Amino acid sequence: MIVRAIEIRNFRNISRAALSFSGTFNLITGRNAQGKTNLLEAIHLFSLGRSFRTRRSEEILMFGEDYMFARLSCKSDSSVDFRLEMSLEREGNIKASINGKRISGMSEIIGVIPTVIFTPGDVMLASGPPGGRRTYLDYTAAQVSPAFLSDLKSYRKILKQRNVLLKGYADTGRMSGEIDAWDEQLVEKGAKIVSGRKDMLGETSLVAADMLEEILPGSEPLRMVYECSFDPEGNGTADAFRKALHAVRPGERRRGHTMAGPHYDDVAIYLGKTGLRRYGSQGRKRLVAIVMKLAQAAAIMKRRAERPVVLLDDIFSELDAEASTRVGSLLSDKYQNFITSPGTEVLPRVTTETSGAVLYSVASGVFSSGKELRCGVGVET
Amino acid sequence: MDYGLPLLRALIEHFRKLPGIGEKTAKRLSFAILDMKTEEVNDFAETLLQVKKRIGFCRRCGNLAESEFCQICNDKSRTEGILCVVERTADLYILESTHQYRGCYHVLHGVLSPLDGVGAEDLNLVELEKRVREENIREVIVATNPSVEGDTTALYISRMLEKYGVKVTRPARGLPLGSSLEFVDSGTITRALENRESI
Ligand SMILES: Nc1ncnc2c1ncn2[C@@H]1O[C@H](COP(=O)(O)OP(=O)(O)OP(=O)(O)O)[C@@H](O)[C@H]1O
Ligand SMILES: [Mg+2]
Ligand SMILES: [Zn+2]
Repeated sequence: MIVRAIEIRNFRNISRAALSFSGTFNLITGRNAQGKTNLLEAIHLFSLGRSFRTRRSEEILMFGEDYMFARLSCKSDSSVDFRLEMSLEREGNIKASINGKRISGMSEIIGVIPTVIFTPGDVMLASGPPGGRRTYLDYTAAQVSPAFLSDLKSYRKILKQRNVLLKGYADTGRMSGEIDAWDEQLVEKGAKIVSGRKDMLGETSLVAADMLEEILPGSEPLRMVYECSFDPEGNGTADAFRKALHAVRPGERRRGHTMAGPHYDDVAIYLGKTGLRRYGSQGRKRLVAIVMKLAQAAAIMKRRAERPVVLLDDIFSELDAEASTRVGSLLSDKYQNFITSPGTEVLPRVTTETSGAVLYSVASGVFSSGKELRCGVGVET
Repeated sequence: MDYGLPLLRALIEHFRKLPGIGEKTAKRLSFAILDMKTEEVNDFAETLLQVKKRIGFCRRCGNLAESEFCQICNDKSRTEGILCVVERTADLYILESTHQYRGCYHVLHGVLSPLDGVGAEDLNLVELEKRVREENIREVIVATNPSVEGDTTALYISRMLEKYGVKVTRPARGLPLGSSLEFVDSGTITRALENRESI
C-alpha cells in the first residue's frame, strides 16, 4: 500500500495541508509541539478509524473550529487507486467513506490501510504491562484477518455482557439461568482469540529474532512464547478455558467480573534463557520493542500480500548513534515509511539517502512543501 | 427555535423520535401535515390511535394481531410442527416477504442482553417451551440475528429445548458477519434458511 497524498482541514494544529508523499521515506522534521506527531496521527486515523492517541474524538478537532476533514489518496499493491475520507463535526462521531461511499461501522476500515506504528510509548512494548503485548498481537491479527477482528469484537462484547450478570449475582445473590449460554459463547470465542494470537506470534517472533540477530550479531537469541493464562499446556483450547472458568466460579461470583480468559494472557520474551522483562537492559528492551514492530510489518506483508505503511514517531532521538544506524539497517524502502524527528541529524543515513526520500518540515501546523533529498530514478509512487 | 409556534415544534419533536428521522425530515413531514386537508389529518390521527388500541400480540406466537390469534396462526395452509423463532415482528415480516417459508413463527420480542437489562424472563420463552411441549413440534429454527446476543439466545433456546428431543437449527451463516436481517436481501435469507444447521 502506498499513501500518495493527504489533505487535511482542522486536524489538531493543522488548519490546512495538502501533501504528497514518497513511496520510500517521508521525513517530517520540526521543533517540539509543531505538528509532526499530529500528521502521523492523521494518517493513522485511517488505519484504526479512531485516533491512536485518544478515545475522545473531539480532541482531534482544531480548537475553535467545528469540523474536521481528512482525505487520503492511496494506491494498493495491486495498483488500485482509491480514496478514504474522514470527517468529524463537533459533538458528532467520526464518519468515514471509501471512494465516496459511507461505511457503516468503523471496523470496516481496519485493515484497509495495513499499518504499523511505533510511538515513543512503545519502547515499553517488550517490558511494560501485558496489555501492550496483547494489543500488539490483536492489532496485527485484526489487520490480516477480518474473521479474527470479528471474533475479537464478539469476545469483548460477550465479556461485557457476562460481567453484568456476574455483577448482578455479586449484588443480589441470584444467578440467572442464562449464564451457561454466555459462558459457552465466551469459551468458544476465547479459544479462537488465543489461536489467532498464537498463529500471529509464530509469524512475528521468528522475523523479530532474525532482525535482532542481524543488528546484534552473536547476541543471545530472541524468543517469544505465548503465555496462556488459563491453560498451563499453553494451547488455550475451549476445553481448558471451560475448566478454568469452572475453577474461578466462586471468585467471579464474589467479585462480579470475569476472572479467566485470553484478556489475561501475555507473551514471555527471552534473550537466550533469561527473561527480558526482569533482566534485560534498557537498551535491549528498546531494541526488542523496535524489532517486534518491524516484524509486525513483515508479518502483515506476508499474510496480506499488501505492504504495510510504517509510521515511526520520533524513535531515533531516543537511540544512540550506533543503535540508530543498526535500526536504520532494518528499515526498508520496500515499505513506505513516515518518520518524524526534530532534525535530520539523528536519522540513520538510509532514510535520507534512499532515492525518492522526501523531507517536510513543520512549524505551527504549517508544512513546507516536500523537498526531494536525492534525485534519481526514485521508487514509483 | 419554535418560530412562535410551540405546537409545530411539538409535532416536529414527535416525528424526530421515530427511527431514521432527523430534524430536517421531521420538519418536512410536519409541514406536509400542515398542508393536508382536515379530514385527511383526522383520518391519520384516528388510525394512529386505533393501531395502538386494537393491535396487540397473538396469544400463541407473539406476532402482531388484531384479534386473539394472528393471521399466520389462523392460516390452515401453514405447516404445523415447524417453528421459526425471531427477535421481533419486523424480522417475521422480512422472512415472510421471501414467500419461501411455510411453517409457523414464534416472536421473542428481544434477545438476551444483560447490558440492556434483558434476561430470559423478559423474552417470550415460557410460551415457546409450552408450544414445543404441546404442539407436537418437530423442528425449531432459531433465526435470531447473528450478533453476540442473537447467538447466545439461540444457544440458550437449544439448551432449554434439549429435554424435548426436538430438532433445533439455526439458519446457516450465509448471512454476512455481524449484520442484522434488516439489511440482508431476500435471496441471501432464503439461501441461509435452506442451509440451516443444527446447534
Ligand atoms: N485540538 C487541537 N487544536 C489545536 N492545536 C492542537 C490540538 N491538539 C493539539 N494541538 C497542538 O499541537 C501541538 C502538538 O503537536 P504534535 O504533538 O504533533 O507535536 P510534535 O511536533 O510531534 O512535537 P514533539 O517533538 O514534542 O513530539 C501542540 O502545540 C498542541 O497545542
Ligand atoms: Mg511528537
Ligand atoms: Zn400467531
